[in-house]
Amino acid sequence: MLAALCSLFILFSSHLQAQDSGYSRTYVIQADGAWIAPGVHITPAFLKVSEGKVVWVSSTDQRQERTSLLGKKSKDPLIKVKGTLAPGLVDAWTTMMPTGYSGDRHTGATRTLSDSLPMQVVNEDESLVSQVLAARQAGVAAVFMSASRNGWRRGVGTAAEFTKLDLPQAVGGGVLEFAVGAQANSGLDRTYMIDEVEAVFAEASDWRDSWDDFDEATEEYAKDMEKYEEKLKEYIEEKKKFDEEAEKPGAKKEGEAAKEPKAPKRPKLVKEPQTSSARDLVLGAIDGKNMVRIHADSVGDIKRIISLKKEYGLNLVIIGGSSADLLADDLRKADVGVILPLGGDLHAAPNAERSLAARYSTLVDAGVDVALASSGAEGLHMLMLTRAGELVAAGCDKNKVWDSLTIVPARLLGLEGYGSLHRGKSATMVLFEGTSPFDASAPMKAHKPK
Amino acid sequence: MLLTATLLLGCAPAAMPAQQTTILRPDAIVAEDGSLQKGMAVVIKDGKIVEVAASPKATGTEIQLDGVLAPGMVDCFTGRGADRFLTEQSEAATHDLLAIDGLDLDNPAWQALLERGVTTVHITPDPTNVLSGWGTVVSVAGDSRKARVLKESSHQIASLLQSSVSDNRIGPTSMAGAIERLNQSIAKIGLESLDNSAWFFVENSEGTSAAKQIMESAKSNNFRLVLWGDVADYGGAAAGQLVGIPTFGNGAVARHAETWKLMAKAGTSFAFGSRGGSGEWNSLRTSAMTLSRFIGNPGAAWAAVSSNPAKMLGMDDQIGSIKAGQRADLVLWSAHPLDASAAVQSVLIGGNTVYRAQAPEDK
Repeated sequence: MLAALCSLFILFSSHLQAQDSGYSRTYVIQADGAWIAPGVHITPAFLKVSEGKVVWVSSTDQRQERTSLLGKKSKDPLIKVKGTLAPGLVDAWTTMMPTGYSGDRHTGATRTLSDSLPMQVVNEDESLVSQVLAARQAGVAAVFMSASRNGWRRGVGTAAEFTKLDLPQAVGGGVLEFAVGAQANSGLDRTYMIDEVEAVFAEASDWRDSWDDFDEATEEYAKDMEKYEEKLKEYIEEKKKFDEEAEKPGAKKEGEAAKEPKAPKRPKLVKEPQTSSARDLVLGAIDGKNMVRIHADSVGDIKRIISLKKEYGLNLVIIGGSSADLLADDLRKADVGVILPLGGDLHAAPNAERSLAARYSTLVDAGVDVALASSGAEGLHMLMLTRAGELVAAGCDKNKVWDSLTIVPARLLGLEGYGSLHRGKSATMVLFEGTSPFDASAPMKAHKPK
Repeated sequence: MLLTATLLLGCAPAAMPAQQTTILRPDAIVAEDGSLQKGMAVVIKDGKIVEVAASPKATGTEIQLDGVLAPGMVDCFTGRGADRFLTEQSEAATHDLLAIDGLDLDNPAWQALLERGVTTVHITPDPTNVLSGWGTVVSVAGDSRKARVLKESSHQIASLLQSSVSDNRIGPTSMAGAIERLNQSIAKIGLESLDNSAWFFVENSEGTSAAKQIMESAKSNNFRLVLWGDVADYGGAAAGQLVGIPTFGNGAVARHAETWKLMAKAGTSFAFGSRGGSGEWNSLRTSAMTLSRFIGNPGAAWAAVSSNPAKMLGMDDQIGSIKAGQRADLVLWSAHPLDASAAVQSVLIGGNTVYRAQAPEDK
């Protein structure tokens, strides 16, 4: 009985943990330096961590001496490490998924990935834990988990951070995912055509307008009902008279008698517009509650996505975007961010003009928010820094590339607690000993808060 | 920087007389253990490194180089630069197939590899047949920018890959069948049909133990293993050995991070080859960087694309490190070659500048 109670308590308490990352300790790390935020680098660095978050960061030891009630003096524990601290990477495009989860295969899918995330219980989903560990080892602190494998279909994905138990935990609201253009109508993996996406938003918008018609029609209905009720009264009177006449002895025979009065027609009840959960999500996006992510590559599709954003005021980001650089100015004006994949084969067909480095530079130079993401899981996380580093080798600005792996994806995913080492940000960091996190000629470690 | 690079190009084939001694003074060289050594001079004569010292005894033309000088990378086994698959699919054992016969010395692959710091490749037949034929070692640039063969018949390739040999159009239909076929071939044509420096491509414990048995019976220490498939299943069998592994590409590489770590701990050293691995031109370097992250040992990772493949080939006296007596196959990088943000500045093969990168702003 006691055991059962205990296990019940454990279950209950672990459920309570669901919104808590589980990090509990307070300590100060002393490192050779820190990359705090874009362009802000300090040496040496002291960084206080409490409950998994940065409390302060400084080039001098800011620890305060405390005196306990018993008069004992103490300071926060100091951990000395070799290397430079930097914020953990934010991988804005992954294929990380809970075991057994499969994205919906039809375009109208509304399955929400965060509903399938395991509770924060040890050993609940070992495969997912191994994916998180792989991401952690690669220096990743937070990810976007897509509801549809490779982003081809539609679903509701979520940004996620990692807890002490190495499980992902959803952050923020559901993100509506669409994919347009590629692979359209390829059997079960059907993708949207851009006009279908437009139709989804138009339908939701029309539906909302249809409530106005409904209100008008309801008013009409009330008036019609008044008229009807009057007519009904008249009818009842007339009918009464008619029946009385008919029952009198010596009543006229049928045919000669007065016509039987007809009952008035009851006005039709106005139908309320039908609701659907799929449309509710789209309405949430129109109201700015849900972000929208569209996988699109062609110029035509991206143009129309920009219009879509303008028309409905969406919080929208484009993933894939292999032609996005050709519309760089339009994207900046419309404030549409782009998430470029580092996962593709970058060098099989070297083409300087259309290389990732060239496309990336064009977008960044135009002022577009560009995130660089693994577009996969496991091994691809580990390749993020080497592939991003190659952009630097190809002439891209090192600081900009670093931002595209940290603060920009954090912004595009609405992950306010990530991307820099300012107060209150996540203390899931990287510690690199080389000249930069891109340098694999020296060790790099991930710091998981205690 | 541009000036010195131009100077280096100025010493291109015609401008460098055979007997001239050149003293290269880069910011640093990459030592065999992967560390950077500053202040070292590399003396080149007749296409070879003759001296590596802070103050060399030799005299000659001194060239200051802005950047890090590293040995050219070596691809331990690849199909690049050769005709199609390099296999005879109608036979189960093609011990006389030669990779050199399928070689294309004008292949654009050579230039692509050169630009990414790879100077030597070992072209192997496709490991489709139990005895698949012989590899050939090629320097990616020789006379008039064509590739040049360094070793016509390098190593015999023996395949115990179940995934290859199970196709009954080609050979035996199972691992047991493959092993039997291998033993039959040896019995029929004699043990000499299996060269005592053959490489066994294996992918599970069954293949590995069969290969080891053959190594044991032949009493040859020159046999080598190339590990295919899921190393987590049999990686322990390669403890303490130098083995070939395919370059890391996309996919579930990280799930084997622990295996690589344990193998490295158990004394296994690695040599990367691009056959069966990532198809990217720069896969050698990206794989070394990834291995460095996995096992936390940049030196071992660097060796996997330089001195280790040279050792596997039995050519570590000629290629794979910056030492006196080695071919002057050298790559000037803007930083350590395992720094992903480093770029190739120029490449020397046999002492001749065969490639110079354009500065990004010139592109």
